[in-house]
Amino acid sequence: MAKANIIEILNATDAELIEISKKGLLSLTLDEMKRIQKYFLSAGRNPTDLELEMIAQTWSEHCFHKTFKSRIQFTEIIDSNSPVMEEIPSLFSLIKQATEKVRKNWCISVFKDNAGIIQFDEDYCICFKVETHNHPSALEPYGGAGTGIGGVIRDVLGAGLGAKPILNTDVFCFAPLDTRHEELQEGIFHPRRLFKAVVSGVRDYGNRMGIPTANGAILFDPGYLYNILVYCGTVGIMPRWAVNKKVKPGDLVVVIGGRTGRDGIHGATFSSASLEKDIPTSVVQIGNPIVEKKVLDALMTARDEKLYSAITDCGAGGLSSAVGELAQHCGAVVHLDKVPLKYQDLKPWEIWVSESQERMVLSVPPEKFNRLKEILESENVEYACIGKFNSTGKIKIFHEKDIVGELDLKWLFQKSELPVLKALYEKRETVNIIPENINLEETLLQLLSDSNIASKEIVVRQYDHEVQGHTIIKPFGGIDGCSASDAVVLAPIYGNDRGIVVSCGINPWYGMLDPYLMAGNCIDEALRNIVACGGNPDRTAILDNFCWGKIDDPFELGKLTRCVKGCHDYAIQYKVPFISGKDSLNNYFTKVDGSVVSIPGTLLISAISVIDDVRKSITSDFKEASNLIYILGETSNELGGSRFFNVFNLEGGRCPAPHPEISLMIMRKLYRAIKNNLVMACHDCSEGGVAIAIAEMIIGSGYGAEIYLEQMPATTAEPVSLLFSESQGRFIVEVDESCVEKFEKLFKGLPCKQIGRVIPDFRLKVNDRDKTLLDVNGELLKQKWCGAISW
Amino acid sequence: MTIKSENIYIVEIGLKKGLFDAFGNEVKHSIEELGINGIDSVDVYDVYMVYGDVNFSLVRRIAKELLLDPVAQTMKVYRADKNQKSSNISVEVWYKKGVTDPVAMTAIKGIRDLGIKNDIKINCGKKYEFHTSMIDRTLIELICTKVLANTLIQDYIIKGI
Amino acid sequence: MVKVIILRTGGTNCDLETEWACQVAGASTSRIHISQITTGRVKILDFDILIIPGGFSYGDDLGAGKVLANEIMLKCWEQIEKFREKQRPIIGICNGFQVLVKAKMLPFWGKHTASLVWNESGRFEDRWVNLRVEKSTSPFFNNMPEIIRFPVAHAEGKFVLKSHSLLKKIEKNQQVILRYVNPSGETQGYPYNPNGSIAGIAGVCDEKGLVIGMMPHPERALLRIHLPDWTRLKGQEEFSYGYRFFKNVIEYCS
Repeated sequence: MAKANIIEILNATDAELIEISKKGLLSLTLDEMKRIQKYFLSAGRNPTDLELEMIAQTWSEHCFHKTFKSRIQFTEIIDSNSPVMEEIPSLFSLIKQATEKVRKNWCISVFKDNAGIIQFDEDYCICFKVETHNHPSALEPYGGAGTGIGGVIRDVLGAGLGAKPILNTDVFCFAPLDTRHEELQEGIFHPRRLFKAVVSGVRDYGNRMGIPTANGAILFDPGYLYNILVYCGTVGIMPRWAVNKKVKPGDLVVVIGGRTGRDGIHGATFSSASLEKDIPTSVVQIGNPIVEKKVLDALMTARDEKLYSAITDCGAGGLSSAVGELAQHCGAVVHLDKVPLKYQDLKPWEIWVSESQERMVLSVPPEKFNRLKEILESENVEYACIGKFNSTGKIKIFHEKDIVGELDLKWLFQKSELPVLKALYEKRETVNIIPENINLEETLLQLLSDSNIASKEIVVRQYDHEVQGHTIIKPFGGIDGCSASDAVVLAPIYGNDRGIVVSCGINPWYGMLDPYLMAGNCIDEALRNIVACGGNPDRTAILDNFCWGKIDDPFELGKLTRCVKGCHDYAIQYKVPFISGKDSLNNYFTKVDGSVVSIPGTLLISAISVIDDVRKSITSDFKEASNLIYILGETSNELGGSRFFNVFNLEGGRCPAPHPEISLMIMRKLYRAIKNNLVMACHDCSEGGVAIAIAEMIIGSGYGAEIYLEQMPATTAEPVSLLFSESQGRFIVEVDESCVEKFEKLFKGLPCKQIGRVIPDFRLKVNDRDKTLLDVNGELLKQKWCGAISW
Repeated sequence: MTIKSENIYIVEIGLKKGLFDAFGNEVKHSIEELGINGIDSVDVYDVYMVYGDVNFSLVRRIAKELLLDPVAQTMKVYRADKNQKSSNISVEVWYKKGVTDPVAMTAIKGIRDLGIKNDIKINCGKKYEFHTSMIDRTLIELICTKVLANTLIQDYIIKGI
Repeated sequence: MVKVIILRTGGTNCDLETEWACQVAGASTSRIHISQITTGRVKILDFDILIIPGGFSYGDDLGAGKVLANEIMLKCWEQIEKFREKQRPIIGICNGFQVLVKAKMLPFWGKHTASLVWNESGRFEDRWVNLRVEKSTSPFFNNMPEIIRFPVAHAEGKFVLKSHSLLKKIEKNQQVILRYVNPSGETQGYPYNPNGSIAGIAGVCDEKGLVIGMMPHPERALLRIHLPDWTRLKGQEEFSYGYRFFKNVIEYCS
């Protein structure tokens, strides 16, 4: 029978310690190894393999987020001024500070639990979590993406005493689909294969779980050739009483769901390492959504009968992490031989850190166990009682009669001395060029079929976006269902019109120019999308997900630091709290020649808003000819990072900068205007600018629009900028003539101008003073936009 | 555990002639995207490797009552060590040992529902049969690694060349 | 009160909204796991209407609905047969339809005559479709407009029959209840017919019209605000086509 091995470390030299960490794939630094050595010296014995594995997993970047918790010495050089030095207590503290300063009393639980929790109404709370599953998806895109969504669903099942998942979100970043096969390095899948397999993975898992996947984005940039990004999010709803959990000593440790195999061994330590050519098969996992669906069904009943006092998911680090976390403030005894296995030849440490999917760990009062068993059995869910929580402050792990590990929990979870990290940011000056002699019509059509702008309908329709019957504003609406929505609106309680609006903001191209502005722009975009559908900016919470490159490179860390600073500053100015977040670092690839390719630093902002009445929400398709078209917000010559620049292969330029004060005022008024039925349709201006926004409003409406550019509130008169600049804080709004007076009064003093009308002809006509710049048939717009991405 | 090859059976389930093979079509499309032309069509089969405490008639029963859709599909059951005569090139893709195989787990449940209590093991895979005059093994290998299988979790077997 | 049993198992996922739709239409409901039936704790015959809702029963792993169909045929067939003999409605929606077809309940009881196979696109698709309400033996689509809209959300929804003569037979018997059509009511190709079903068939019933199955989801079209373009619609009526359907079924049993 398999037993634990003793690892000789007490007398090991520094070099040997490093070797032990390396050989065991532990990803522990020398300092950490020395700390371990010290602990076991005072314990007077050598550690077992299981103990080392548990420590490595607990202290891994993935579980402990060392980079985000470290002190940072930040040097910033902006606009060739002399460097400014600053010491930052930690990136995480910056984000947290913002939330504290914004102080919204409807934030129930932030940065504590598996997911951020906000108040929905008097009886219910909403929780939201977004995760990434980048490395596994690059290796096995179907399984990786599927287990990515499976994992974040479990986060929500394990938030508080468990929430019912009501929505999945997904955001993917790939290299362009037309990348040439010859450009690929060995071992790298073609973007098209990754795209199809990732979408299929999310589709098959999410659809089988019966959770609508109804919001997201897909981005394409050559920077994601070696490392794709796969963000998966889940929103859940739970009764207010289920928000808190507390393990009681004496409770049973009960594991339910999938069996344990060798899947995903070293996932936690691996996910923080870069992609190399030789990867052990065991890190790859395939999910079984039906097992998780059964777990979900059983848990909802068990929760409502209050059969357990705490719950958490088995994610990275497996049982070690889940039981460790639950036992953190008390203690536990675990018997590994009781864990249901897929096959028998697993070593104790493998059972302990395996990341087999679809497992949850519950803390169950002994007197409730029988009833819990009944429920689990009637739902055909496998389970095992594998131990007991106690108040020893230690975790003690047995395999049959052998003790295979015993660790002091306080020591294990104690914040270690983290080294001070150096971060460097230098802002490069860029020239602002405006290309001349451009064929505007051609450019517009080219932009519409740009894969970053074009319709993603072919993907979105593969997701069941209305299962559960809560989806009120669906991803696609309008005539023939070909008009894309800015956000999704759900009414999560049957017979109740109270709802949530969920959206996202992401734009790595701004980050290439300035990560600080990217943060503000992503927040602005996420909020715009919320408000455009009728969401309330003052009742909106946001989540941050950073995906970054090689983080021990001070320049990469510098960009990240600047981005986090942006998150902090802008969250305060927009008065939106962060409620949850996650980072995925070291998304880079080492080429055969040794050169390192990091991904473009990418921030995803996900937003969720609570609204009183889903029936007040609106869509972006024009509703009636002769209605007036307004623009809110000012346009500047900000083409840097724009899709327009991309089409012309231009670099640099002025990055759009958010104007939080005016933006927030506009959004608040717009929310009121929509609530008071003054707005027929609304769409935010994002990638591609005003021209694309109006074209999209036409495509799903069957009507057309005639626009007069000279009417736009702007700091520029350049048509190219007016049409394609991506200045933030702007909306295109359709207003019925009878509401004009009220509408204009509401926006008095703010940049708000009528720029045209909805016309009966299906076409887009743009004039600048007495000149017609553009006159394009609607069918052509539709064809370019709808047909650009093939499966 | 090693199993005698005469106790391993393969069940092959394919679409009835005349029904449109959506997957075959998609595989062909993906191969063409690779820049490989010359595949006329691809037939896709679900293949099940059934072994353990079984014999031919039991496997046939499982295939007929559980695995087959009698209206839309055809089936073939044969011993794994008996070579199947085919003029076409085909590729089988199977999960590597230890990789989660949800379909196999469901199949075992279905077998229990049939009242069969034998200790039966199942592996699930796919078989792709190519209708083509192209017999270049390197190209087929390329199709395998670029379209049909991920060698990190799957093995492929080329037959008919 | 009319009592509806909504039969579910691992992978069923439209049970809650189906239950809600039945309740809104005036029935009392129970969502029952098949393990409760096979162990004898709950009896199907204690209910007036049996609904098998949408989802992916057992992951649809061996073909959509197949494993649950087998389980029903092998473990609770007697109850089901009695239920039918007593002329109580049996309704399969989406995955439920796939189950009824594979369990030899549709379109002809006791025979494998039809199937639901992979969409011709090879993909799962969620989209709203126009459905022409056919003149059928089923009483559940009475008082409906000629063309209604429900969403489909499936991967294996292409309706096929064992032989071509069967198509004539079910048409003659008035067993076709719904067909995929374009907005003007004609059967057409993709995307109006989202899966390639023969003759655009979206739903069928047995000879008596009390066992019915359809791929589209009436429970997702209960309210006006469920329609994908409700923000464009002028009318203010609260309920939509799906409500009519459930109301008809429940009124039939009252």
